Amino acid sequence: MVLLEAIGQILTLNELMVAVIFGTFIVLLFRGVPVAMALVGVALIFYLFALVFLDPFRGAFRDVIEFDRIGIDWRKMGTLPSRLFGNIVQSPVLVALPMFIFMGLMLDQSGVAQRMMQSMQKLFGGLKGGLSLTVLLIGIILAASTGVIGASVTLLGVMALPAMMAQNYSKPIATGTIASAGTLGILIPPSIMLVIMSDQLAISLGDLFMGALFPGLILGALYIVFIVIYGLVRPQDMPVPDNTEAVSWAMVKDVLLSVIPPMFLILLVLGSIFAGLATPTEASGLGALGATLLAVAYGRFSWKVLREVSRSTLNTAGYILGIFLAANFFAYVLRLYGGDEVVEHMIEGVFENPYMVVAFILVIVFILGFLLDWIEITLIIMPLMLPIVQGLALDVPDYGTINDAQVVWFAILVAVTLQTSFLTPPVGFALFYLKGVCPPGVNLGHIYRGIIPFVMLQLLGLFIVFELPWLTTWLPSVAYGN
Amino acid sequence: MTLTPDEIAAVSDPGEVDRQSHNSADRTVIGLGNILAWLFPILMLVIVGQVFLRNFGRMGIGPGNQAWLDDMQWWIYGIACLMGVAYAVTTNSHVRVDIFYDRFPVSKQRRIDLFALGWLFLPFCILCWDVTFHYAVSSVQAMEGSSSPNGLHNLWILKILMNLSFIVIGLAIFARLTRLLGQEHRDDGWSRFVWALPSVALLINLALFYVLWWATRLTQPELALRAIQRDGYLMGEFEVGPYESHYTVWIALALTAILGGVLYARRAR
Repeated sequence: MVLLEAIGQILTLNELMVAVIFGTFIVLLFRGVPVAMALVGVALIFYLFALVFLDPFRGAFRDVIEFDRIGIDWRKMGTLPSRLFGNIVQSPVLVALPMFIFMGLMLDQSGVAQRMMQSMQKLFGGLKGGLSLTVLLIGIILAASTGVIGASVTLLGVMALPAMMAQNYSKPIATGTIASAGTLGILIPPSIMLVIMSDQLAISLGDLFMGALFPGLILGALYIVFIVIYGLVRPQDMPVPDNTEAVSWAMVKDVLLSVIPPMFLILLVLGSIFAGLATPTEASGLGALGATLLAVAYGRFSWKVLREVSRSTLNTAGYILGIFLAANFFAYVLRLYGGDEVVEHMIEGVFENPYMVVAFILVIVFILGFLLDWIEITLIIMPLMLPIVQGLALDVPDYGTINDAQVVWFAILVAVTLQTSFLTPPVGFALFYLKGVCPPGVNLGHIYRGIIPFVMLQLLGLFIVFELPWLTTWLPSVAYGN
Repeated sequence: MTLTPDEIAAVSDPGEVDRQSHNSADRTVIGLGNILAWLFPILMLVIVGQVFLRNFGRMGIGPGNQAWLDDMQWWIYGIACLMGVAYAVTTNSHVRVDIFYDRFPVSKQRRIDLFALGWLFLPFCILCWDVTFHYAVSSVQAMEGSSSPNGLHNLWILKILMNLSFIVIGLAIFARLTRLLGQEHRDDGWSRFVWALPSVALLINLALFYVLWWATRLTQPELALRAIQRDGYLMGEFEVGPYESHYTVWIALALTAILGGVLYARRAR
């Protein structure tokens, strides 16, 4: 009680409890408790704690510390099913989630990437850094046709890393290129991360897809420019093989032929949205069918492949939805404790300038990205930030056609920032997948050094998107303006 | 052993990994998941069908947009993804932060998993089952339909399925608890009781509540349904200090303690 009284001088009990809730969550998380279970566990523990301890003894607490009643009783649990049903099951947007996962897994099976690799490797073979360029180009094309990164990084690593090692590429630059190229998949539409953001922030998925296109391509272009310059400055890190064939028209034709099928898929997904033939959700179904047809065309399709892709989709969609269920319940309990207002006050109190507030949130996301992955950040942090961002006076052009233009811009900024969360150790999905397929001789130290320049490029890309909001909002305004 | 790129990149069947350690309940969940996984190709066809119907409909060909196909999309997605939650429990693929976890000894990893499953996830699941059960029952009583006139009617079916899916998730958790305890060579009743203590207490409480509820319902049919929770056998509330508490909760806690005592006395030494 004496301790509480001392704390009461600077915090309310609600603020203290919100800190304790997050603290408990982080402890459980770092013990290795799965995210979904840590979320529901913490929510249940503090639900019970308020029920049997905080609320009944509120009078005693109020003598020493400011305290708003939590107001929990078992009857309140009755709203849980309608929240679960209404927010998660009855959600037309989230239908796109399993479909984009299916599409990505199927595309990786189709052999499209292997074909591109073979033909581009020949064409760019004579250039300094030709293999890195090949990886980046394939990464960008794959990114525009799938929405998951795990399989893309694995695939690029398995295809390109042995070839790069055989050509004596420096290990950091080789691994850095692959990790960052594969990670683009979650930014360049279609992307399951944008699907989830659209659901959490209640903004149009079409706007998000179109808004993410330029920022994603800018990031890809930055990588390419970097590799070209790097090849000129330090050619010994990306040596040219001794026996290169001269570039011929046949090679160019080969590359074009290998690029046409994935282009067809991009056209099918993004084009159908752009032309208004399908909603973004429906585009996911079209994309899944397109990827399946490509697998058929390349002779890789079999019932076994379809079966295993479906089962892997079930697995991936399952663990993402598990976090959805859990985060929903967690957010509910956090709100009972007044966690929304606590976070809001904390962030709004720091800066006056609305742009500084956005920058501050992005810094938080960047730092959290070292420890957490995009799923946790988009599901737990984003909903808390939404009311703050909505309340800011930001000058984001909406061209009279986009609803919530500043939320769209904010979502894209976070999406670009989250690119770093895949690459930053100790917890980065891309690092994890790449480590799994590294040939002997490549270790984590090489990967860690390799990602540094790419993380800096991502931050540069973030700065560009931050400074030029029209990069985000112009395309969606054109797509839906007519 | 060297693998070709194709072999490494090939998706493997998540349900086949570590198959030899699965018990029959694990295989039941995997088997059910394997069947429901086919919903994804079906979902793909439903979506594509809708896109074609609508766009041809605009040109005056065919019946046009079908509202029931729209509803069907999220019906399929909802059922399949809830099943996926259970499937991911069995395949142990729920996302975790593994920087420290990976370096723990195997038995410590298992204890963390046991705690996460039995003390955190299973109670949530039982709670969700209970509340969605009432939700589904009231939906059935109202014969709830779709919000659009041509949509998929009988929304209550989906709500029942949501309720059932928590049983499947609970089964998946239980199966993995048993599997982990077996691997730790602690598959006696006492260990199970300890590692699932909150779930056991919650289950006893629920069972007691429903038994008493139905006992009242069957012996006193004149009592209104709503009144049973208040006036049924042992359903009343009483005050202890600052609490209003139910007799059922205290009886359930006492029963849990007795069960624990019996299992402790009978544990293998």
